[in-house]
Amino acid sequence: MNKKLLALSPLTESTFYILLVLSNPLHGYGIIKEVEVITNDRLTLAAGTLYGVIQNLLKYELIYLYDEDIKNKRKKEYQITEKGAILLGYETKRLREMVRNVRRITNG
Amino acid sequence: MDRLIVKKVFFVWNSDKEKAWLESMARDGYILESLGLFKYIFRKSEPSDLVYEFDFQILNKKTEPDYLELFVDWNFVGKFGAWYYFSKIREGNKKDLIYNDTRSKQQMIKKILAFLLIIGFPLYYQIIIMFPNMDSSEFLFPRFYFFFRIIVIIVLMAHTYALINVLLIYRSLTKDIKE
Repeated sequence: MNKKLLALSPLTESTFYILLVLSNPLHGYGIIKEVEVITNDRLTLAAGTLYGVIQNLLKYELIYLYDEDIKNKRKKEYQITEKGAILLGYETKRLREMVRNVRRITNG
Repeated sequence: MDRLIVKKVFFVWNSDKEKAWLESMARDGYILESLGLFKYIFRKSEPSDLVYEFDFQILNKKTEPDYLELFVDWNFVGKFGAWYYFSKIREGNKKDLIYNDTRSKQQMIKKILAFLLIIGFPLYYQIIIMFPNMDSSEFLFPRFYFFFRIIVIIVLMAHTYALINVLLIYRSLTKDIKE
């Protein structure tokens, strides 16, 4: 894993979940709904936050424009890139380590 | 008469007051319909419990639809300059916000700061010529220069005041331990 990619870790919770649900192609509002479903409504992505994160993820080529509905130009779909998947894998390892350490130290 | 036009001045650092005012107008049945320079146009309607949110975004014709598409749960009231105004019925929970973490809120404030700094450039240039070594042209138009300097100083003070206020908002967010 290269240094530039590593420098993006740790991701914010919003960024992490957006990257995760984009393992399948989704359009903007679909991301909000999907994250709500998998977190049982705990995390609601706000539109302004989501827009900023999508712009950043595109800039770092962690996601790409998967498909653009030509009839309805407004619905752009995004999907994770290989680079994004590598970062997501690294983050998952980091989070596992956190949980492991909590268990070890608090016996919780 | 079902429309009401109100002239009122708010600045970025007063946006909480601006929201509170717009929300109290909505409770009185005046729903914000569109905006202009320090101008708010309301439509008389049923009193409603609305929340307002403003976002600072520099968008173009191509990127604006992508942006607005995300605001499905919101009503896009209109924009003034780079400010986008949204409203919705209050739910009393996190869905009433357009930013759900501190990082993204800070990014917005950063954009405002960058914008202020960039539009300040002509002004910074004025500071250089405001204190020139007494060159000959100044002796030719002393009165004009005096007047000019006063204007520059006033604008500069307003600009600095704005920068400081926005910086303070940014700083208050860095104290937040919440992501």
